[in-house]
Amino acid sequence: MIMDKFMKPKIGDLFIYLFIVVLIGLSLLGLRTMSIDRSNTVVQIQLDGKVIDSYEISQEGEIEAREIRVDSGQGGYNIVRISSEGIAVIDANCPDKLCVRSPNIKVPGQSIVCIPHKFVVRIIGESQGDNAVDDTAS
Amino acid sequence: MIKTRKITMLAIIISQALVLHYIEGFIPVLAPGAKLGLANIMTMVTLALFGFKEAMIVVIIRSVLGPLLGGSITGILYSLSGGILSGLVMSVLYLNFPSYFSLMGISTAGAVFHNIGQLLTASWIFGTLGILYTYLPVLMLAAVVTGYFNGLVTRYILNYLGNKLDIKV
Repeated sequence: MIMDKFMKPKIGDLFIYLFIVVLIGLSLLGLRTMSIDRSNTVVQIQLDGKVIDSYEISQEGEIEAREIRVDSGQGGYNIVRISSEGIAVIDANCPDKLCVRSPNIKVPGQSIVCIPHKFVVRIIGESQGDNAVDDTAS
Repeated sequence: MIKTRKITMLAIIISQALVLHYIEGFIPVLAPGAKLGLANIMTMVTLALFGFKEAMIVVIIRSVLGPLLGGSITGILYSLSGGILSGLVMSVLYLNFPSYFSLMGISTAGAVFHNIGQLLTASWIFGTLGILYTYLPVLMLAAVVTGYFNGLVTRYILNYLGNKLDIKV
């Protein structure tokens, strides 16, 4: 029995099992933080294809309402309102005002576009459950 | 050991590892992604009979040829990353700390790091650590069982081979 010196459980084995327990704990923790991340979505404002601003909003609970004025150059502006009712463009001085008349957006994947100002506000983030259908529909 | 004999032995060991890798594909497992890792037995046998360099040769050749047998070429990346990482860890434990670890412990560590290597590669390819977090807990538990079993098998093989081949291990 030449290999007998490797046969009996040794002190180092304990460390390996301890290591495994720690790894399991860490990955469960990681999974938790990831699912918290998923419930948060980001409102992104783009101008001429570039992201100029982004706001994190929580999908649960009340969202503190706020208005953001975005100047698109040459005197153009759009005012975005973020609130519990969703995201809307409440005022703009673009010629067609399509962005103002657009319905509020709430679900990741939706966006409001103002073509004259090359202005886009969109909600990004992974959608959950039923929302997935709306994503493709909108 | 004579060079020719060593080459022949390594060739036999690699082919045995490949056959083990192939037939374990037919054995159903409980968790998705979990495997018995029988080929790991041959890595440990090589490590004990020959040493670090030979063990890594066996691991690398097996990792490249194994997925080809199974039919998916993309699998090479996963099996190489897992195989090399676990081979390195097992070598360090076996060669540098023989008085602290049993064969079962070393085998379990090998299984653990094989999973870690593969999952890190998968996470890198898919661009999210979620894969690592999701699969790791289940695979770690599986590694405890399969690692212990593989260590036990390795120990019996080494006893047998050691007597037959007159190799000092």
